[in-house]
Amino acid sequence: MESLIEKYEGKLIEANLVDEGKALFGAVNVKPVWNRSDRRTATLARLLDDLSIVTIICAEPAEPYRSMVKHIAASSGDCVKPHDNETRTFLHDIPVVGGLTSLELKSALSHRKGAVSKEGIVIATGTVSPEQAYVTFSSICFAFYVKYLGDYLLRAREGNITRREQNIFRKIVQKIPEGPKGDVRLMRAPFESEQKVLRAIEEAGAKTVHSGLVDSSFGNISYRYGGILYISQTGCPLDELAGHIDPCPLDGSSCVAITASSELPAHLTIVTENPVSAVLHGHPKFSVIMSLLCEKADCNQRGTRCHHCPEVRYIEGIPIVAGDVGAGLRGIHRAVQPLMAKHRGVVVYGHGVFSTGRYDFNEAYDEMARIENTCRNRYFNATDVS
Amino acid sequence: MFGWMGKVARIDVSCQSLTIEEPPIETYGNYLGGRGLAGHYLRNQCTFNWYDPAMPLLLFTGPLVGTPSPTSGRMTIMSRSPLTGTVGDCSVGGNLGTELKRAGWDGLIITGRSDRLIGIEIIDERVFFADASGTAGNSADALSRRLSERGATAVIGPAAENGVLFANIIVDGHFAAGRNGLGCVMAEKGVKYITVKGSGATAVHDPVEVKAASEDVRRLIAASPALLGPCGISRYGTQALFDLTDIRAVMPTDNFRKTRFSEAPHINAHAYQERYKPRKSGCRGCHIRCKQRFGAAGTLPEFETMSHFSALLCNDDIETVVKAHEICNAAGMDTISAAVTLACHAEITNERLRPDEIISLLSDIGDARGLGKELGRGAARYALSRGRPDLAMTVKNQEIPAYDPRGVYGMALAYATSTRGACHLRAYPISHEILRKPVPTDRFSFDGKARIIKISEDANAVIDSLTACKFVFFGATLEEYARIFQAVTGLKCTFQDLLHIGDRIYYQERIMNSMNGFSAFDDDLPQRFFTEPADRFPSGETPPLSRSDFLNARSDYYRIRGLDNQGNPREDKARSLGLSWKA
Ligand code: SF4
Ligand SMILES: [Zn+2]
Repeated sequence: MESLIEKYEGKLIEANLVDEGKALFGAVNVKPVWNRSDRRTATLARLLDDLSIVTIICAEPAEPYRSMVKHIAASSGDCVKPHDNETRTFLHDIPVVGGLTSLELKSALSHRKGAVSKEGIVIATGTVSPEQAYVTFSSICFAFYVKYLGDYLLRAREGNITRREQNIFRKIVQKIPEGPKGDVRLMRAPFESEQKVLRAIEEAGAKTVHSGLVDSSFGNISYRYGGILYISQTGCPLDELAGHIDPCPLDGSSCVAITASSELPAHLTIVTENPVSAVLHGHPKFSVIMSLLCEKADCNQRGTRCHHCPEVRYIEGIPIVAGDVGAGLRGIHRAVQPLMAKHRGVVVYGHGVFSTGRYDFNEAYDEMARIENTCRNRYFNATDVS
Repeated sequence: MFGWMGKVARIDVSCQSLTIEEPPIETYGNYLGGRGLAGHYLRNQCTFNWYDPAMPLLLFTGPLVGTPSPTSGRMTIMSRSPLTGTVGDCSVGGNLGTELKRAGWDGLIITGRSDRLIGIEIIDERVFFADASGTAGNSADALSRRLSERGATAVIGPAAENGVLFANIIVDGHFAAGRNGLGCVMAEKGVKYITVKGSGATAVHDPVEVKAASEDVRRLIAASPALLGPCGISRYGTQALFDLTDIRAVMPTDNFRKTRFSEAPHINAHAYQERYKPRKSGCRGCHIRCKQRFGAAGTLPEFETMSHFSALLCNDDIETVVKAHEICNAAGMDTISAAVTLACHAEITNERLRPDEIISLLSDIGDARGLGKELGRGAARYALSRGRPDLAMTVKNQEIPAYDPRGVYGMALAYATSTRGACHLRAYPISHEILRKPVPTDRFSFDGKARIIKISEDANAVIDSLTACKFVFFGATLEEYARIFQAVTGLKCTFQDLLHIGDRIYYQERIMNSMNGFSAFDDDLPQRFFTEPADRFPSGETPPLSRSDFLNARSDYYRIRGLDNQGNPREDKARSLGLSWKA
């Protein structure tokens, strides 16, 4: 448990989700263990005792997340319901507690695996391993990021922003890192062996994380080589792919890919229906934010059916479609695949971007970066920040 | 009352009488239904012998059965196990649970012993006793088909009538309430079949909210590669797991002497699809539909059956596997136990069973003929009688399923602590150790596993009581089901409340087992796993389990579960869960 706590505390810092020394991270088998001593461990240890969980993180997130969480939590009731897809599918909603008392936390964490406090502290738990708390923590930060910036733009469009809010916004925006660079060079095709393919996938996955196109707990990637689609495993961070890539024979002769990414259906249809070899899926934040802001006037489905919207919208020629994670009748793959004949990249409503490369990951990566930068520029133009 | 019907039928087959019981709402709140409620009703009789007329055979549904809640068409059958002597129960699919609810019953408590073979026929609130002497020796599948127009069915086959200790009760012709020998209990009561037809419905507190909450679950099912993914169980049935257990080198082979079978890639799910072109089917109320049928009445074997009738017996002929499955289903006996018992026999006699021998021995077991009569008592009793108890791959006399514990340490602990003998489903650590859900754990480590296993056992006790299908938890969690439960019953409830109830249900089972003399001595694995290495993928060896690490993990488990260091329940813990202390 100690080594897992250390690993995921390190990842929180590396991903700029938490500043060094700020995360309180605990886990329990028989007795609780903590990453450091802190006055709050007594309260949290009681939670580990009272609740059927094995791990907990309690931390003030790093900027810009801290200000975003604080701002939204302070002006919310006892629950926030962001519209991004991660929240909708995995978190459902995020409870807001007044303070970090064990009573309030116990009540919130009996309902949900994570919560935030009015002061902007994020609390995340898991019933299996510290990794779970890390993923929940990361998902909550992502959800608040998207919600804060998305809500702001929506209200700016309506002319509904006060001077004070504008000032806060400007300060927050200064803390947002730059967009992804487009000049990254990745391994070039042709790849002569399975080993080379695996290295290319690992390299592209790590680059996608390091350039901020996806947080380390999301995303997936695949490459078609011979009759096999090599694809990242479900829940595997794209910067830790070594040993976690499943071979999925296109003729269905093995079920080994039962542990593959939940987006295997999308990857499969994309590579079998189009002349592409590489598929990349990330959650670049501004693409997600802009996808949520539909400009169609008078839509009577707004707010209720957006995640299943049958229309294709465009931002500067980039298509936006809707669909649910994974398989099923409303699966993303049904909406994304048909557009890949004409586009290198497609945005999925509230979720992320799929992009492709004919030969290797260079095109796919460049397209995702281009889409993100386009959305980013659009966002800042629309909010008057350049 | 929403969710529950508020009525339990006490059926005494000795005098063919029906008494209606109306449990107080607190009892429902404390035990939910299914396995929890059945355990509650077993408690006072739990020390009786399984063949005692007073020993109840319990059939219980849960509050979600008969509602739109995903995978809710399941129920629990329970008694004391003839095979293990522990609590004996099984979650079973098909239509029986739903029909019982429609007929107005949360459960049936069947006691007594009928002098002649009878059938119990339930139509709504009426219970009839039919002379079934003409069906003696009928195969389970044929009889189920004949009875199907009378509603949902639960029948026993010749194996139960012939005293096979791992005899099943077969629901709706294809769904086995297996593992613990529950068929023998039914046979002992002189009941050949039960049919149920109902015309009512389960009242739901907030249908709109149930629908919304069920959508949350459906999204997670769609997002789970193991469920609706292109290689998942919705597409290939549970056979989808076969390739993975091969390359993770946890496929029990040659009576657990090896963990890789060289022929595995040729006899995988794909091979069955090619050969049998099956179509999907499933339990009532489930859109995952993990069952695979072919031809007029054939069903493809599930993963455990497929693996054990091939790798465990070193058999690479899939037609033999399908035939073996068919024989077990017709005779009404457990496939895992049957296969492990045959593998034990093969090792003791130092021979490899040919396909025709597998088939003929299985028939002999079902008919209690010759050697089959001995084998029908299960691997542990058979091996003991041959002076080689070490070669029975069992825990508490129950045969071990198709995941070798040397490659999944959480499973090693879970096999040992399971309240019904070796069982992969009590804690189902395959979810995180193999399928990476909700996140992967290190399958070669006991670190943290004690608490994970304890929490999963509680969660699965809840799932078996609500009811839902355990497979759904490769995607969803009790967080989503708490919302459904609340919307169905109108009772406030969080997922942590549900886990607390799961703790109570599980502890009750530990108490009952302890009353029957079970303790740490029984929470153990066969010696082989601590002394012999296993295989590794693609080559090499996986070391045996460390005995001391295993014992430490088990001690941790006892502390976390609130047991003493011998695995016995403690009065303070029992009382804190609202359970009565041992009489
Ligand atoms: S997943 Fe399979 S076993 Fe579970 S309820 Fe559905 S059909 Fe039945
Ligand atoms: Zn995604």
